Amino acid sequence: MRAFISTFAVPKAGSTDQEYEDASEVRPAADDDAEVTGPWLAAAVADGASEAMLAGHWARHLTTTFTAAPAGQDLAATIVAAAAGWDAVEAEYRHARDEAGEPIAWYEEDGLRRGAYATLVGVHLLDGATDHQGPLLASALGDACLFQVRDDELITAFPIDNPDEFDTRPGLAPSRPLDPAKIGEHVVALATEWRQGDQLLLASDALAQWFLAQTRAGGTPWRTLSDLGTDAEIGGFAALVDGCRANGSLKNDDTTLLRIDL
Amino acid sequence: MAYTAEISRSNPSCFIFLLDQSASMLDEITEGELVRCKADVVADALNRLLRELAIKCAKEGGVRDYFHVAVIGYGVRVGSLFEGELSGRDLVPLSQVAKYPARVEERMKKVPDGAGGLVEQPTKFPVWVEPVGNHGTPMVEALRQATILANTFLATNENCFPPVVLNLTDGQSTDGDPRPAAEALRELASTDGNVLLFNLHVSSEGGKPTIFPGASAELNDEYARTLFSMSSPLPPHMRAYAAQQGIAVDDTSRGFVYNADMITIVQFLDIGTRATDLR
Repeated sequence: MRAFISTFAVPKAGSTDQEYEDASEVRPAADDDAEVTGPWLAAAVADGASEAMLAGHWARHLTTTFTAAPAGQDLAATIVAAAAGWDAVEAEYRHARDEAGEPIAWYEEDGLRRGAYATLVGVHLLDGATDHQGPLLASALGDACLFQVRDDELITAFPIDNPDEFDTRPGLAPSRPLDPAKIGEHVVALATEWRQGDQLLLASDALAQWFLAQTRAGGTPWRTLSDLGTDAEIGGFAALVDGCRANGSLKNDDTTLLRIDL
Repeated sequence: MAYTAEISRSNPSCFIFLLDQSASMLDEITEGELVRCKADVVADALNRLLRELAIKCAKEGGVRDYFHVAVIGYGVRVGSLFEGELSGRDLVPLSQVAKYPARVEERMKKVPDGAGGLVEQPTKFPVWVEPVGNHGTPMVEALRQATILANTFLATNENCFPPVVLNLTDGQSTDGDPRPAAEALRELASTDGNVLLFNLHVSSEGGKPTIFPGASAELNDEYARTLFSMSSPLPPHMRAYAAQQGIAVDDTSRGFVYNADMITIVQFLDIGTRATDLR
């Protein structure tokens, strides 16, 4: 398959780039707007929960673990595998704070003890009988979404297809699961097909909700997102996000889009 | 729709705590097998509320100033209870409150052990206010000071999630009927809704602990009835959160608790995606 990858990210208004807590990852690794060719492709977007400590670290750890996992592996198993590596991530953070002469404060201890939380949506694309179409395996926990557009029509909205279903309590992948068995009860999976010419959009919740609301109102938000250009016009995405936040159609949140043009 | 404003560093809200420190707060109440004076109960409740608020807003690198906080005591005098670096200050950014407690204790706390059980771990417990009880109960003056503080905050934060005023008391006001002062406070508003006045009532009268009662609640204590009538109705989203936690609420429920915990109100405030475990 051949795919062009574009990623766009804007932090919540009032937050710095360093405070951005979404994450996106694609394998095989490619520069932005680069063409990826090969028999498989893995991509994921995760969104760290704002109330959690080290949420951005966990979102990045999840997307890295997901894209390195075998295609078709149950997402719950991937999350448990990521959680198994969490102590090391936290230890590294504590060490860095100690080195900087800024040891962990009392108000951070509870959050670190509880661990971090994030939503995740990920896809694996595999070559089929030809290199023009093949299996598309998607899985998700929470309200980060996958949209599949074919011939200028939205044919897949996963795992949420209704803009009214977003709130501040989505299902979350925990870095310190109290009951790992529960994760399996909340992950959802989808097996479908990709074709050359499809566009896949992976979005964190604010953009996903906007996308679905625009679609419900008869709009074609995928065209808007396609017109952002293919040459790293992050400014173009930032302008879209700023405008939509200003007119109230986009929630003020970290906003991430990973676009795969097949 | 009211009470939906974003709470963020660029659009912060505020918490004003009013703490009854009058002589009647030295009376003892029985909680199960535990006998404590009311001053202990409210000081502990306030310290835990401030702790929860700081933890809720903590991110790596510090506590974010989603709220500005005032802690006003009323007894011998009416005024700020902050000590040390914050001494004499009224509305203080939450990061400063977290940074400068009067002292930090170590207590044992039960936490999940990751295998379905609980294990005791030492936990740092900051203390901002100590139990105090003497003199009268100038609740009317305390509510007036809260009104001044809320008004000051609203002047520069007109689109904020409305200030939340939480009064911790045994209800025995000695400087007049507190209801008109409470009404004046509740009439203040941002573009997102009126100031919320909640009351946490500790009483020696006994009776069943009550959380967010509605119009049909049977409150035997005269002071409880007064404080209930002073309390704001719970906004719909707070009722929804309370219901999710198994608290019986209806559309007449008010921000009032009787001999019970109000730590839940910190959880009612939306500052973004909640960090909750899968159920």
